[in-house]
Amino acid sequence: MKIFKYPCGDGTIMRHDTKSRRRVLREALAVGGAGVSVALAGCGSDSDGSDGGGGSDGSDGSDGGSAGAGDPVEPIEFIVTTQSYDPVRYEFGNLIAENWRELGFEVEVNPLAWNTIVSRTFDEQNFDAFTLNWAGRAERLDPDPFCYSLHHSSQTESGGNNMVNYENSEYDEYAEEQRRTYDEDERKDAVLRCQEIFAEDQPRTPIANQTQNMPYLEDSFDEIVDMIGEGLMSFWTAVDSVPADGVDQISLGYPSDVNNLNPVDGTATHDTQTMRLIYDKLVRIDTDGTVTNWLAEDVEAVDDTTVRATIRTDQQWHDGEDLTVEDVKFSFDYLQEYSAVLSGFMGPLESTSIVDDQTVEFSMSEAFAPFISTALGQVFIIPQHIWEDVPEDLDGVSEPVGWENPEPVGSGPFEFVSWSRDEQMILQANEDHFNPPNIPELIKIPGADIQSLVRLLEDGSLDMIGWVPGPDTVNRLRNQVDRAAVNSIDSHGWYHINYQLDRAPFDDIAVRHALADAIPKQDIVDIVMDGQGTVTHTFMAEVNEFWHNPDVMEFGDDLEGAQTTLEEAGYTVQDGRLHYPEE
Amino acid sequence: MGLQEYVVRRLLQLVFTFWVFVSILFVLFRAAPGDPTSMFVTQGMSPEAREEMISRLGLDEPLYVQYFDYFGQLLTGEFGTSFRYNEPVWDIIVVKFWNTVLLMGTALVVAYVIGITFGALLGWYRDSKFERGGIIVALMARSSPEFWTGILVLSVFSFWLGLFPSGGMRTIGATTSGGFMTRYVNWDFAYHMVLPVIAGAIYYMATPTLLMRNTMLDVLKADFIEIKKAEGLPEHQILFNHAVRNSVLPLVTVIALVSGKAIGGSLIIETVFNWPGMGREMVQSINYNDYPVAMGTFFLMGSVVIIMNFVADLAYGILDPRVQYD
Repeated sequence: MKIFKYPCGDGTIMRHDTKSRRRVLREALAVGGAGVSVALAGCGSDSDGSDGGGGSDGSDGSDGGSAGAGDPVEPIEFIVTTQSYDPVRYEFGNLIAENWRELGFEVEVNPLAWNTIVSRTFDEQNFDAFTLNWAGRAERLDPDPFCYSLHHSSQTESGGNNMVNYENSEYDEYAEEQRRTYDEDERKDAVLRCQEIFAEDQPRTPIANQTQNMPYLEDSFDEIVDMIGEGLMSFWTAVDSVPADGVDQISLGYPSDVNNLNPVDGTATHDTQTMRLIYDKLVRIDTDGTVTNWLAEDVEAVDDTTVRATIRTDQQWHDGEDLTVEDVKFSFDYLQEYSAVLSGFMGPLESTSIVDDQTVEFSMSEAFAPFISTALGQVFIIPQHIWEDVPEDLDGVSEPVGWENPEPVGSGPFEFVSWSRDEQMILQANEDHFNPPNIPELIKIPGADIQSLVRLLEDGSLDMIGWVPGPDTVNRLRNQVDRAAVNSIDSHGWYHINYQLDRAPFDDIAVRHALADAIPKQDIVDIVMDGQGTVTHTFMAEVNEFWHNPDVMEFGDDLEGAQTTLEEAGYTVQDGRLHYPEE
Repeated sequence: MGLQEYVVRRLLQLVFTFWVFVSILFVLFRAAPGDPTSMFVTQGMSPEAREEMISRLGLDEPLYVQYFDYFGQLLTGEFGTSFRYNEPVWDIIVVKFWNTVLLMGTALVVAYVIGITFGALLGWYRDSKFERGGIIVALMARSSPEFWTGILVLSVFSFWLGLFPSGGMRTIGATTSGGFMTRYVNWDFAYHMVLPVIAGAIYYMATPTLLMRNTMLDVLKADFIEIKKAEGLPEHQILFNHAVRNSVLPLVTVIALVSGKAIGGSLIIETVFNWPGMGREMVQSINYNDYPVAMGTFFLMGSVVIIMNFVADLAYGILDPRVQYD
């Protein structure tokens, strides 16, 4: 039995041609001969057969060959979310399964609760295929999270984000290169290459980027600011939006409440989205995805492993104490030691030192290009005079991450006023901030679900909602409710399908290509998402212009092409059921 | 066997019931898939951070150690600290408890007062158009899903007539802090409570109505009613002083069970009316695998049912002298 691999080196030019995919496959087959199992994930290393995500010596128990030559292809368990968790994923899951059945696959759609999905997929890696959506958060505009932690072969251990077991040493090289390259254009080249290789290997099939439609009351604002991926939930919405004359209170609804306001914890997205209003960071990700200086007035990479930040002078904490360069150093030292989540953003940071009363220097053990956007853009600056005594000073707390932090003191544009869990949280503008917000008082209102928030907006109690309601509700708010408006902005978050490459038949690239081609991406966007999205073929979204590669292999909306791909790979359909190629 | 001995025996049974109950709770929640970090995986929590959290929470210890720890905690009256709130479970539950008890308590009182009266009248006016119509109304209320009733109440009273707010416990921006009095004893709170109480009352009304009617039919056939009629007592006096009093007994058991429901809240009513109560807290803490909060809420709800059953058993003997303790 021969394992065939794409001619990676020679295939480079072809990969640029999005239409040449089938030709590549045909040529590949011509080279490999008929009736071979095709294990293509493993480009770049031609000696190691296990490189292609386990190749065909996967978990199906067949020894060393194409998984049971001539046998029927195993049934596919296709895991989707429940309808109530995410109607979009539930519905497109059924659409996709329909098409896969047309190809002769036996598909069972299995809607599961979210925590069951996580333990089956991330933890146990015990799945055939499942749908997922990586939300478009500000820090994911940098290519590193999607490029490296999702697809690098070092991330395949249990719990890691590469739960599909995608291993391709050529891909790894580019993913590592984008990590250590400070020059933006060179880094971009590496990121574009990653996307090409990814698209060709199809360890995951990207489907669409969802448009963020968030409702608000027109009369409450003179100007409303939004952001790619975060819509009205963004930092800049709270800070730079201008309320209408006479409006001194803006209420923002979200379908759940904050868990806690401890910056050492920072586990839940909603928590950090709230804390970033109260705590400053050295830099912020701007509305267009670029890095902008914030508490640092200047940031400079001295060399590959050293970054210097100059801190603004005359800044105060909300309790009136001065914010100093010691606080900045303390924050990095303290959070690196005690915060599992934030220390994860610091990469290879070795030490933080004070250069003068305005400058801190970060030394890293190796070059780490995302350091400025990821570490400086994520790590909260916390007051030393409060945190240095935690936990010693507090009863019953063994570690700082477990502290309740009942009245957070930060230096950010909003000050914490009060919070009644599941009722409301009141924040007020910090007028002494270097970038004081235009909204005098921001009230965060948690809702039981999105519909209860929409009702509050309709009766005029809520000013805006930081969540996307279903397409029907969006249309109704747009066209039938006078004072309501809907803010639309694209997201870099992406809906996609994951395949377990360690298993047959997904270890065969021809199968993945066929499955991907059978996905009705355009119908999903048009019908399931009611047009509120964009079809995508890569993990860096079109809206994230700088890093997006528009020139990758495209799959989808081509059921006949999918059938041809399978036929050419030697698969046959008998009695409506797909069978592996004969030996 | 005397009353004393009966009470002692029932108390011992109570202890055993609690032990079984708590053990089942423990096993149920640990058997649920996922762990407290599951919800945060796609929010960017790394495998290392997840491991650290699991070990910080003591969830990497053998199950029996966790079981005995939890039991020890409960015996000292501790529910532990929430995994995701970093707050003692009790502090979280106690707020939700009052939010829910005030809402569901009011709804149930309204439902039972109206239900018992209505049911008694249905029994009294047997075979009339009123009875037939009344039963249809009661069955309709019972069979309409709560969310549907809730939405209907909302569209009529909030969106159409504009009389009441569409959700929440109070006006946005109103003071929420302070003691019990400042939080709950004010018009804003009562005003926000009207619609959810109506929706809840409609749903819960059918059980006492139908139960009351059925027992009334039996009681009305009894000889003493005939005798009272022969004595020439006014109808309303026979109805309320004699027939209703004797028909209300089975409802004592039902009330004991329903009070557990009052504590557990109604997930659906709380969701439709955006009411921060126990029902929503239970579901959320299960979704997040926040075991201490989940077990705390269920423990509270179950305890109320167990204790109220005990009380109902004792109350039976007092309400009906014919009941024997054996």
